[in-house]
Amino acid sequence: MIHDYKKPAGVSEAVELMRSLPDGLWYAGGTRINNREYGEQSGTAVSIELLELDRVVCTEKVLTIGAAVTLQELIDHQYIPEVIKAAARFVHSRNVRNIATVGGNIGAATADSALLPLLLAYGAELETPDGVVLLSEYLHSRSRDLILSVHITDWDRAAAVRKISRASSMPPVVSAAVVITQSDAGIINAGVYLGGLDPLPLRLDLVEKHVETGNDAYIKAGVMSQINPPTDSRGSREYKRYIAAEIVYECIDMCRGGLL
Amino acid sequence: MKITCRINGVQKSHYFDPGASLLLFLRSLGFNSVRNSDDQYGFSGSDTIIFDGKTVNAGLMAAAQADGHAIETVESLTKGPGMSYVQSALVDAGVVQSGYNAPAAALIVHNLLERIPDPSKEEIQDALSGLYNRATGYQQFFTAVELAKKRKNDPAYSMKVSDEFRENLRYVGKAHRKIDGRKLVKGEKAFVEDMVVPGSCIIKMLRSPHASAYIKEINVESAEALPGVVLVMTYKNTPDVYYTPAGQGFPEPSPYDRRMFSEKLHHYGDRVAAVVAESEEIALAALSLIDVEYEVLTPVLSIEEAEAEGAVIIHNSVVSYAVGAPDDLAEKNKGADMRDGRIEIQFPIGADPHANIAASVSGSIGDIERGFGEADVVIERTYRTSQVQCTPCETHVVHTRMDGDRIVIHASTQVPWHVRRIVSRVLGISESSVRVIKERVGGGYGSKQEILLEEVCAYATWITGRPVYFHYTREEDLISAVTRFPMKIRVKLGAKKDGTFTAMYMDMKANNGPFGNHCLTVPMNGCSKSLPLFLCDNIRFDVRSYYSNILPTGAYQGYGAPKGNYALQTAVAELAEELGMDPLDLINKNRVEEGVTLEILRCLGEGREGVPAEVMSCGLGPALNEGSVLISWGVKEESPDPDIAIGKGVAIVQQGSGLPGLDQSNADVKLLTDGSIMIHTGGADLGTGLDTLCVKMAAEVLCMETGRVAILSGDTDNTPFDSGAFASSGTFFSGGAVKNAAEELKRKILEAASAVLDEPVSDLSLEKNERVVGKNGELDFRAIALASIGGEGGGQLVGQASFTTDDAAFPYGAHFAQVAVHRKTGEIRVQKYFALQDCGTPINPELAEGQIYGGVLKSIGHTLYEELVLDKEGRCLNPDLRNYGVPMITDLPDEFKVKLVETDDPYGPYGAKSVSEISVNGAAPAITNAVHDALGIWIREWPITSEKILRALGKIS
Repeated sequence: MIHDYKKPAGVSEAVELMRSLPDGLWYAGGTRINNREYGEQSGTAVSIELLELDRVVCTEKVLTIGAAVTLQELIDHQYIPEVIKAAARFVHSRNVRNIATVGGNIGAATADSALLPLLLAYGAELETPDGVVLLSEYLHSRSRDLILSVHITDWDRAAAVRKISRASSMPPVVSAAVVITQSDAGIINAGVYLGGLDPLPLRLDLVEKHVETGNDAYIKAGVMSQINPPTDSRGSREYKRYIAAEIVYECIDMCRGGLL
Repeated sequence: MKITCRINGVQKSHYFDPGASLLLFLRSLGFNSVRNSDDQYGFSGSDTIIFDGKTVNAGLMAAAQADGHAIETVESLTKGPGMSYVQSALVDAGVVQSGYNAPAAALIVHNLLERIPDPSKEEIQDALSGLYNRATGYQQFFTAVELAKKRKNDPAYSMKVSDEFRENLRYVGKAHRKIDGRKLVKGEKAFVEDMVVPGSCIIKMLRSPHASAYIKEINVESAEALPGVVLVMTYKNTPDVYYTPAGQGFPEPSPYDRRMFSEKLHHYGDRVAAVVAESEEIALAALSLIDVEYEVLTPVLSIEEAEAEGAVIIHNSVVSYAVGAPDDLAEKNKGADMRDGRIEIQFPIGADPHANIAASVSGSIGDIERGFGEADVVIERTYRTSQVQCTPCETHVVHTRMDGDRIVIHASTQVPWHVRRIVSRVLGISESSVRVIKERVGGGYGSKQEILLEEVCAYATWITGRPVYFHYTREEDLISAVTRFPMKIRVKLGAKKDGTFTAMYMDMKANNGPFGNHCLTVPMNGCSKSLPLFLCDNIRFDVRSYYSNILPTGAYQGYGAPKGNYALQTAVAELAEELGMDPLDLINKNRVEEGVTLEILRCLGEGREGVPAEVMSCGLGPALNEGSVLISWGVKEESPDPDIAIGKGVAIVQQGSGLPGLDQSNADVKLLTDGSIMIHTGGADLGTGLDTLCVKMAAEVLCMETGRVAILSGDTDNTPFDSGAFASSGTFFSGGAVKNAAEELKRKILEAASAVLDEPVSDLSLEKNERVVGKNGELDFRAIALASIGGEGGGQLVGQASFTTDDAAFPYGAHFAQVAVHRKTGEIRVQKYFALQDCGTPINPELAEGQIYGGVLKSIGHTLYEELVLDKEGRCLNPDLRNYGVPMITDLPDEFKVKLVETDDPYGPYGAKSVSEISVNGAAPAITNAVHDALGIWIREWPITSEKILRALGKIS
């Protein structure tokens, strides 16, 4: 449980405050920090409520989503691509989506994160007080820097997400996100990620290469060769490997307009 | 931290721990309508509030977040005693039954209609996506929203919310506002948690981390020394009394194998020690100071392990019998381990605890071997069911306090009288020293037929003299409250080429877990509520229950029937395939019908000798006919998506109406001095509307307005005895007693009026507006009441009656499912579900429909999603609602319809039969059969997961 709650008025003040706190926690909606399913977290909460991070800006090239934008606001926003809305809906409860934020979903980086696989597949960047950093680098460096916003370049690329769970509200057995960059000449780049299997989303670089080189026949085998999930209450290892391959293939197919 | 916020339009400033949850903050301010049923997991929505215009979970937010913001709780919806348009719509649509989450539902629907005046089905589902509603499922929310939408502009608007029955009656068979609906939906004090007196101590339980172990050493000195600790209870300082947690009629067909605390631990989460302390924080701190050394044993988790030669013995206890001890008992007791304690058995139930057998029984009619010999086709199949949990919104809870020399128990129970009996036995005091008050029950479904924490809390109060409160966390509820027995069921069927059954055999093996509560009757019920659905001269069954170290099992809505019926109905469909027949045709060829006598019940007496019963009413024919039309039976549906296969399935279902020859209900109906009526009934309304049903029937008998009839129920000091709300007894028994008592009062009213009017009773009749009308004059009830209680009167007019019977009334039903299965991923979507139920005369039709919707959705959950998963050490891997997998509104079938098929049973009050339990018996076989119709595969184990589908399809090894 958090034992103190600070509400700085601006970004500079927030960053200074966090530097002074050995046990500081960035605090957005609180739906992960306070949720006992994810374990107790204790420390001093530094709220981002007053930092004015709740805007969505969409240009022809870049979509910028403020860290304090809630998942429900994403769904309700006219400029947000449908695929991002679909990923946000992986958080089943509207009550939770009304308070959970984009920044919180990234910062908490739980295995069942709704947004991370897709944002990683987009190659999204994060704006922090120290500059712009790739989301993948932010996650792997276990950075505690304040997230100000998320940038998605070429947000209108072909993208698809898919989640497999028993009941609609249950955590994913596995989720998949695929983003494909195409030109007139064909596929330039693919981003393929799986969620739900590891603490952080798994990048399937071998599969990405198969997509980019048109080796469609190797996609499913590629997925299965790149993952080794444990058997647990959600399913066996064999099942997870199989189902992951199926939904990755399905997402790629959706991105390519059902041409696979 | 000082928190300033606007709550329900009023600016408030309070100092509070900033990191404490907003839920606690609001409850500390008296907003008890904001409830907790998931311990801050953000799943069930009991803690819903409106925060700056949006619905959120208060349990997921820190109190500090409220600073500078606006909050609305359900109290914001109304001023005064009335209901808002949303609240009245929810109650009138039948959604509010157990009602624990009703205030949250009201807030969500209110918020929805503020945002979207005319929401679509998808928008309604989205709004309610974070609300858990186990009692009635979610289907009636669509009706409630439709009603609320209209009432927003026209508060008097009414609409038909259900079919109506019995034109000749005023209340019976008609929708009627549930009499406790207003209280529940407004979030007023209703549940045990609302009755806790200030200064109460808190109990926290130290639970076993092992599925099987002895306590070698336990040291509680440090815990006892902690300031604020009032008492620490272990096996060393608690009564050496054995009992069964089962709230069944005495003598119970369940072994007394439970001690309040034991030296041997029998399941993950079993009781090791309990701390009674001044606060929850102190109690939890004290738990961490208890030092325990365990001797860990290898757990027995499956039926196969329990029955194996040389298996570890779960209860290597000294066994005794009240009557009927077997001859070799002394020999078997020689090997007992004193640390395992004792088992006391009331009468022979086929138990042999030293072989892990808790109970067993066999029975047959005809000649089973001859029957199979005469068959042209014989099939034999084995089915398995998993361990699923009742998961009521309100977890188990109790509050105990002293009242002078007596102890008062505020309980959330289905069996107040059994709570009194068992608590008095454990405490070693007379029943006259114990009062049990059944508060509103926030969902029971069988789990509150057990005595799981009442005796611990009562003992703490009895020893300390302090008021004590004990409320299970959700995890405690999942690992230590009761579950459905996992079963392994072998079915063998024989039939002629034309489909005529020649022999039926069921071998029911139950994994009854650590304690033997319901060990005989649950698996027997699996036979007695499935085999009689078919007519066959040669039937045999074998039932055996095994002790093990899985999580505790016990009663759950449907009892053994969902499992027995799953196996038998699926086997019938498999037989149809072998015969090349349509499964519906095979059912129709062999099914039960009105007027037949069910001989098999002679050997299915549930703990006593059974008797054959005649089927006096049976709506199966119309149910099957209507259902087959609704689902277009025989028409093969094709999906435009080639990866989707569509199939249809059917199952027939039955249950009982209480336990004839075993159950008893009593009621008093009193004429008050102004002519109004007060009912005192022992019936335990666990949210189903039993109180409403009693009021309606009394008003019907006495030609009164229901608004002039009040009811008090389930208070052992102030109401007469009732066996309890289980085995689908409420309408038939408790309702029957009230109807009988009302008729007795009617007789007395007529006699009293006869004396005053000087006219024979035969010339008098009851008329509307509380009048007795004769040929020469009339009197109103008020005048009759005043005459009876005056100095020259004969005493207050009270109708007193009991209800017992040897006559059985069987509810029936037909369930049809249509599923879409993804060939590549194994995902299943229930596209259509039609439940056609014969409950005789539906007394409360909209509430009956709600219970059926809820029951069906529970069983869809069991069939497709829900499962307690244990590791090889017996530890539960998914002790929370989200990972356990309860269905939410987005899991509803795309098209879902309950249809009540009216019959008029001669034995039930106003022709009524039971309704609730039966509805959970159809989904598993109907969906299993639909999956087969879609893909040609048989899944013989629930839950039917996509993994099992893929294995059956050979996609994974």
